[in-house]
Amino acid sequence: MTYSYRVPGSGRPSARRFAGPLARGGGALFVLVLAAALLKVTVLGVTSLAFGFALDPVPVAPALAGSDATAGVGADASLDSLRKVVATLESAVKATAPRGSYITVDKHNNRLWLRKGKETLVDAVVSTGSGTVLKETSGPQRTWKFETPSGRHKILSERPNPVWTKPDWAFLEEGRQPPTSISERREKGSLGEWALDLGDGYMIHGTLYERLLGRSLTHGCIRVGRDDLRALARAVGPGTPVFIF
Amino acid sequence: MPAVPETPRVRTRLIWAGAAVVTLIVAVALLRQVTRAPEPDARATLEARATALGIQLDLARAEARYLVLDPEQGALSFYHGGALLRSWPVTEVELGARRWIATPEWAGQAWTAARMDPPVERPFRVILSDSVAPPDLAGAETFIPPTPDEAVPTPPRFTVHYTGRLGLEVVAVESSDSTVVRTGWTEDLGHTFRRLLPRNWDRYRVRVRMAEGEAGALYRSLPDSTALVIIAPGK
Repeated sequence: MTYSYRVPGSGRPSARRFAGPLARGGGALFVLVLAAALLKVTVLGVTSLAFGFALDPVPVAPALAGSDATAGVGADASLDSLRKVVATLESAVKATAPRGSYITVDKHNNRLWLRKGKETLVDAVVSTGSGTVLKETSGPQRTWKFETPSGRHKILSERPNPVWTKPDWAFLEEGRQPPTSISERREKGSLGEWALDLGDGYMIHGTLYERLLGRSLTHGCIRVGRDDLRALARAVGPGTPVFIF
Repeated sequence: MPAVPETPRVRTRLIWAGAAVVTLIVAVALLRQVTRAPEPDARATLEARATALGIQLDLARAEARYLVLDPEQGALSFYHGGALLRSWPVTEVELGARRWIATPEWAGQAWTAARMDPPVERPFRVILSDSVAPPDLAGAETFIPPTPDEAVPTPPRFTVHYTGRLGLEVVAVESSDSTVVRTGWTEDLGHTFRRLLPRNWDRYRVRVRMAEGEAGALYRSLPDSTALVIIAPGK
């Protein structure tokens, strides 16, 4: 639609020519925006009602504390037998838990727990594998990925004041060539007071850098602070399960 | 003489028919909401618990890794066999399905093949041995890596998708010392659209709310392919 009327007797367009279309166009725009908004609300509302989720809240622990839905509901014999079934199953599930204490390590959050039954004996901030990849660019061109291995392990041995025999990667990542003699590889003190051996070169041990605990920076071992390591060493022994996830 | 269709009348009828369909959908949805089944009774709760415990027992004996959502315990617990690995306290649990789908028996199965959305990206360094200069001070730590929440920022809400079209939606409840990365409207829009993708289209939804520190820890550490057992009765 064009607006091209002129004031009779004048060769120039009137001021109304500018004001008129603006007023009319503005009104149309307003109606358009309103219609679009209404359409959006309707579409979203209908879509949400028709295809959205109907979620029901489930009471969590605090709400159930005073009114356990499964207890004290009259003296119904069939309910009692159901309760017995549940109790038996709960016992059976509990029986699958490790006997005695066990260690769990959350390697992506750098946390370690020593648990025994429902009790948590140690809750420690640790350091785990950095995930760094080291590539040897000369010689045998080996590659290492410094990750803490997930899965179920167990403590194979427990050593006080361990001496670290540094593997090749420990020299290569420092820009040095690995020495041939074992004596040049041995390093005292860097593993702390205890080393709990998990096999394949992986250990739970101490650190000289406690300020860096909580960060992923090891070559796959689990570094623990001195006090937590002492508590661990006191409580565990060979055969203690270690779960890493 | 053949009847000539009156176009405006047909159009009007179509509009009325459309409106009727929309009204019907809305009415059915509202009716479903109003006539929701009452609170699960003691029997249903006990039966659900027994069923879920049976499934948990099988998973424990198979040395599997699985999550157990037990609202009664107020926790989402992660197990390896029978060993509790970690427990995340939840403050709120909601269960449901899309409005046009019947609610499943939550406790009747192990939901398997967990897949995190958005996927967790773990940055790592690659070191070439000939590019490393010998350190000035032997054994000194030169590179200080980020903390876990710096390395893998937590989204304010994420979903773990399972086979059977179940989505476990975790909502991080804000705290004053927030480390959750707040997203802008473009990311929110992207998240909304991503949820519409066929692979992310869930039929059933479990929504849990937990403190954002706990949500972040869950986001970072939950391995893919973990099963989920829900101890709650269906309808």
